[in-house]
Amino acid sequence: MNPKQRENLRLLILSTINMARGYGVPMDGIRMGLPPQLRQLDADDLRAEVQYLIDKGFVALEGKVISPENREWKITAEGRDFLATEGLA
Amino acid sequence: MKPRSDSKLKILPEERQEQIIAWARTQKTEEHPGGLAYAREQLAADGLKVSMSTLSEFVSWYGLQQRFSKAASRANQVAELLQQRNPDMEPEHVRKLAQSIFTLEALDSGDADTFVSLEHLKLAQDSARTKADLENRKLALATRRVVLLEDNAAKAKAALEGLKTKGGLTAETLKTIEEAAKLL
Repeated sequence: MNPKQRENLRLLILSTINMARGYGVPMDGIRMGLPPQLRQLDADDLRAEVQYLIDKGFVALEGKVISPENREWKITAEGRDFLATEGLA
Repeated sequence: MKPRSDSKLKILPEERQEQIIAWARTQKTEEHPGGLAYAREQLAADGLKVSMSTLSEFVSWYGLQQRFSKAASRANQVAELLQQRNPDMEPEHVRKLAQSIFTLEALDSGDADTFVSLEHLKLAQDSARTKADLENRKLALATRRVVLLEDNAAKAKAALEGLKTKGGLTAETLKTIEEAAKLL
């Protein structure tokens, strides 16, 4: 994956999480927002990109809702602002 | 601010987006190709040129957005309902339940109605268990009171029985009666 593709992937992840209107989105939900060629990405790779968005302050871990392995992520105000500046929200 | 090229369809008004989706769902006929190609033709006729991949991504994005929006709306409704029916429920608990509803609906991986029914059942069970615990505690307390009363009555009786052997209402006897009465 080149830098441009990685940037697009991060934007797609953020856009998908933003669609949840404040609710947390699980990994399967994030995959649904990706184009078919990216849906097969390794879970660890995808989680690493989500972690990048967390580190940037755009995404936050929602918590352990049903069971510990079912993590969900929600967008932060900073994330929404960023999407708006990119014309994606 | 110039929007990203891949977002130009996503920022169109809702009615316009619906029109694009309707074009994309159009069946192929002798006059037009139908599907994405038809949508692309129509957009081009309106002066909006997009690639097939952009259009494809938009259709996918639109479907997911509708789905997530419906899931969030359903979760909000359930949260409101839970708060109405269980005003004492912790807000954090309501939030977690709403999140679960959202997840189930968004992933279409479960029956939310069943989930809510089960949650209500669980709440009812918890409530019944709490009531039963409370009743048990009340019963234990009442039993303890009876035992103490019986014990005190026995002590009072023993104290009064002791007076028979001494005879007369001396100051000491009156004091003993008062102490026995206090036990009751």
